[in-house]
Amino acid sequence: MRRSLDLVRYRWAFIVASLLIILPGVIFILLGGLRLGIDFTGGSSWELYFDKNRVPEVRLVENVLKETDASFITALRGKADQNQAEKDLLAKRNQQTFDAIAQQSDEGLVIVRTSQIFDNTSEKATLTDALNKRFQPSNGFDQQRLSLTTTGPTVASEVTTRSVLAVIVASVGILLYLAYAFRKVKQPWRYGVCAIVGMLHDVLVVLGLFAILGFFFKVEIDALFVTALLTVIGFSVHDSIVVFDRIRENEIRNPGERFESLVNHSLVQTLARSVNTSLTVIFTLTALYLFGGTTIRNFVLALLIGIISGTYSSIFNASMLLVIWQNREWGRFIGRGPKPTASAAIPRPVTTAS
Amino acid sequence: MHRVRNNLLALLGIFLVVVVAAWICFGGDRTENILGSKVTFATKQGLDLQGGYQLLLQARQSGVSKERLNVARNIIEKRVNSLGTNEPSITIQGDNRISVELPGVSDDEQVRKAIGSTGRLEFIDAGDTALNTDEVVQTTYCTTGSLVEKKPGLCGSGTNSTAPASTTVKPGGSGTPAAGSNEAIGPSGTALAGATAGATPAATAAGATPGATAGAGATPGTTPATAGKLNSTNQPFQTIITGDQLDPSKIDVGFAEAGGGQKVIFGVKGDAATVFGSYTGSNIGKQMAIVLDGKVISSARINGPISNSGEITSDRWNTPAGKAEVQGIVTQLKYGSLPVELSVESSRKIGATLGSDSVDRSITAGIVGLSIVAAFMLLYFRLPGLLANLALLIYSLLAFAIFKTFGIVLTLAGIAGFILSIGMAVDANVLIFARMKEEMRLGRSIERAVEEGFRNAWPAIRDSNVSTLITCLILYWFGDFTGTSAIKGFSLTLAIGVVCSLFTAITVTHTFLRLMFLVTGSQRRLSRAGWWYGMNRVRRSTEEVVQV
Repeated sequence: MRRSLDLVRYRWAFIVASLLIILPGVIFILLGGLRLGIDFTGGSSWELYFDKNRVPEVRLVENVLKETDASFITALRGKADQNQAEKDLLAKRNQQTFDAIAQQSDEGLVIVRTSQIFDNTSEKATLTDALNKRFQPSNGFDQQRLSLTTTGPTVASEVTTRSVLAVIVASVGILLYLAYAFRKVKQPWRYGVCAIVGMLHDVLVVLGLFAILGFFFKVEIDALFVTALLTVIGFSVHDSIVVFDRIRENEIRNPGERFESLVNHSLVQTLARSVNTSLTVIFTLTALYLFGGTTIRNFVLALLIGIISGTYSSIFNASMLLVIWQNREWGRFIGRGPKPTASAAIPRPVTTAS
Repeated sequence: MHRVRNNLLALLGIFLVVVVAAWICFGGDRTENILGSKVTFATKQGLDLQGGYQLLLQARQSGVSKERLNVARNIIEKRVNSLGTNEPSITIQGDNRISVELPGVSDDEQVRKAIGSTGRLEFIDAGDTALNTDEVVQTTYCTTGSLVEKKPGLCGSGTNSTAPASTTVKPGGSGTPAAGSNEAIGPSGTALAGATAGATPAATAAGATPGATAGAGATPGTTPATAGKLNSTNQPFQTIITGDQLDPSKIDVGFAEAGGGQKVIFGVKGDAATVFGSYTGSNIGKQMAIVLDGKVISSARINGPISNSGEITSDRWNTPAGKAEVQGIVTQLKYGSLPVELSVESSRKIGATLGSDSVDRSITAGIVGLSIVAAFMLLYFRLPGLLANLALLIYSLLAFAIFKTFGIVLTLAGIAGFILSIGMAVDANVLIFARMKEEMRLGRSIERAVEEGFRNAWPAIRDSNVSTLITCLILYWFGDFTGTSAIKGFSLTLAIGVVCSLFTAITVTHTFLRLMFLVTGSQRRLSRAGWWYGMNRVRRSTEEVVQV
C-alpha cells in the first residue's frame, strides 16, 4: 500500500507560496508599474508596422511625431479661421504639449502612445503624412496597416469606473451563484467566499505580471485586458467548483469524516481532472499566443497566466482556505508564524475507495 | 431494444445537425429561401479584421432627448448608406452618444464627410459673386438667425480647405428654362430656377443684416462662431433659410431636359416657402449659396422666384463625376442637418491589410490548438477520447454555423474566444471521462461506469459553465457600454461556445459511447476492454492508489 498524497497538511505552505508569488507583482503595482492605456486615460495610440528587420529606432518615430505636431500647432495658432475642433485642440495643447512615447513590440510593430489627436482637424492627416514621408514603403514601412485609436477623456474615465464595476459585479454574481449551488452544504457562503479569494489571487497575479511588464517593457493595459481579467474570474472558479463539488458529494456520502480529510480526499480525487481541464485550455491559449495575431498577444498572455494561476489557486488556495476557515486557524497562524500546523495533519492516508 | 432505438434516433438527430451545420459552413456566404423566409448565411468580419473606422460621437449639449438622438442616428445612417459603405453599424450608446462603425472604409475624407459635417445647412445670400466650393464663410445664423427664424442659433464647427469650383443657375422644373450661362468663376456653370411663382416680397428684406462685428460672431453659448469670409459689406452672409425648413420628401435627383444630365430638386416647407419665395423673387440674377457648417457646398445664380419647390442644374452635371456631385448635394440637403451637435469623442482607424493577416494567423492558431487538444484527448482517454474528438469537430462545425446564421461579428478577440472555447469544449468530457475511470476502478462494468460518469460529473459541469456564462453576460454589458466590438465579440463567441459544447460534450459523446456498446457489447470484464477506456492496469483491490 502506497502512502497517498496529503495535500491539506501543507495548506499553510501553499498559502505562503501564493503570497510569495503575488508579492513581487504587488511591489511593482505599488511602484506604479501598471501602465494604464488610452482606454482608461484618454489619448491616442498609433500602430505602425515595419519590416521585421528594418524597424527604425523608436526615438526617431517619437521625434517625427513631436516635431510635426509642434509645427502644426504653431501654424494653427496663426490661422485666422479656426473651427471648433481646432479651438478645442489648441486649448488642450496649451495645457499640455504634445507627447509621444513609442515602444517596439514584436514582429515589426511599433506602438506609439501620444496625446489625444483631434478628429475634424487636419492634425491626423498632417501627422500621418509626416510619417509616410519619413518612413517610405521602400524602407519597410507598411502604410496600409497604419492604425490609430483615439479615446476622449470622458469615455476613458467611464471605462475605468465600468471596469471596476464589472469586476465587482462578476465577483458578486459568482459568489451568489455558488452560495445557491452549494445551498445544501453546511455554510454555503464559505464556498463562495473561498472561491472568490482564490479568484482575487489570480487577479493579483495577472495584475502583478502586467505591472512588471509595464515597469520593464512599457506594456500597457486596456479594455481588452479587463476582458481577460473577467474571463479569468469566470475560469478561476471552474476548478474550484470541481473540487467543491466533490467535497459536497463526499460530505453527503461520509457525513462523519473529519473536514480536513474530507477536503484532502476530494482534492486528491479531482487533482488529475482539475489539471486536465485546465491543460486543454492552456494548450489552445498557448497555440493562440504563439501563432495568433500580434495585436491580441497581451490579451492572450493575460488569459494564459490567469488560467494557470486559477488552476493553482483553486487546488492549493480555495480548498485550503475552506479547511483553515473550518478550523479557525488564523489566530494560531498569526501566533506561530507560517509553519504547517502539525496538529492539523491528517492521521490516515487517503484512498480512493470510500 | 428500446434503448437501442433511442440511441439510433439520437444518432440520426446528430447526423442531421451535422449535415445542416456543414451545409451552412461550406458553400460560401449566401442567402437561402428556407420555409418561405430568407435566411442569410455569412461570415461577418469585425472592424479589426477587415479594417475600417469606428467612431464614438457625443452630443455637445447635455440633456439631449432620446428622440432627437434617434433622429440624428437615422440621419447618420442614411448619409453613411449613401456613401455605399459595406454594412455599417450605427447605434445609440447610453444617453448622449452614437457609435458608428464603418467597415472597409479607409478614406479619412469620406468619413469626415459622412460624420464630420454633422451641423447646420443654410441657404445664404451670396450677393453678386459666386462663392467657391468649400470656402468657409460667416453667416448671420449664429447671431441673428435666418430670415425665417430671427433668433440666435447655435454654431457648429466647419472645416476648412479651399478648392475652387462653381455652379450656375438655370431655370427648371415646369418653368421656362433660362439659359444657364457660364458664370465668372470655375470651369463650368449651373443655374438655379424657381418653378412656382414667388409670393409677395415679404417685409423682411434680405441683406438687412444687423451686423455682427467683423471677425467673429459670438455664439450665445461658449462656442465662438466659425471664422470665415465676410460679404462685400464686410458683414456675415445673411442666412435665408436653414436645412430644417427644407422638405426632405421633395429633395431628389432629377433628370435635366437638356444634355441628359442630372439636377437637384428640392422643396421648402410651409411658412419658409413664403419667405424664400419673396427673397428669390427680389434677388433674381444674384448668387445664392448652400452652406453646410459654414462651408460652401454649392453656389448658384437665382434665375427666378422659388417658393415651395426649386431645382439646381449645371451643365457639367452630365458626366459621371457630375452625377456623383448631384447625389452628394442631394444627400447633404436631405440629411444635412442633425438635430444635435456632435463631437467625436473617440475614434479608431484600423489599417485594411492588418485583418487578413490576423485571420490567417488565428486559423493557424486554431488548427494547432485543436490538434494538440485532440492528441491529448486521444492519448489520455483513448476510445472515449476519440469519440470526444469527433464531438469536438461537430462542435466546431456547429458553433461556426451559428456564427454564420445569426451574423455574429467575428473580431480578433472573438476568434480568440472561439479558440478558447475549443479548449473548454472538452472540459466537460474530461470531467466525465475522469469520472468514468474512477467508476471503473471501483469495479463497475464499463456500461455502468459510463452512465455513472455522466450522471456524477453533471453538477460540476453545470456549475462551472454557469459561472462562465455569468462572466460572459457581464462582459457583454461592459463591451456594449464601452462600444468595443472586440469585447462584445469575445463574450458572444465564448457564450455560444459554452452552450454548444454542453450539447456536443454531453449529448453527442454520450450517444457515441452508448452506440459503441452496440458494436463491442458492453464488456463486463475490464481486464480486456479497460485499456480502450484509458485504464492502464486494473487491480480489483480497493487499496489501489489513485492514478494521478
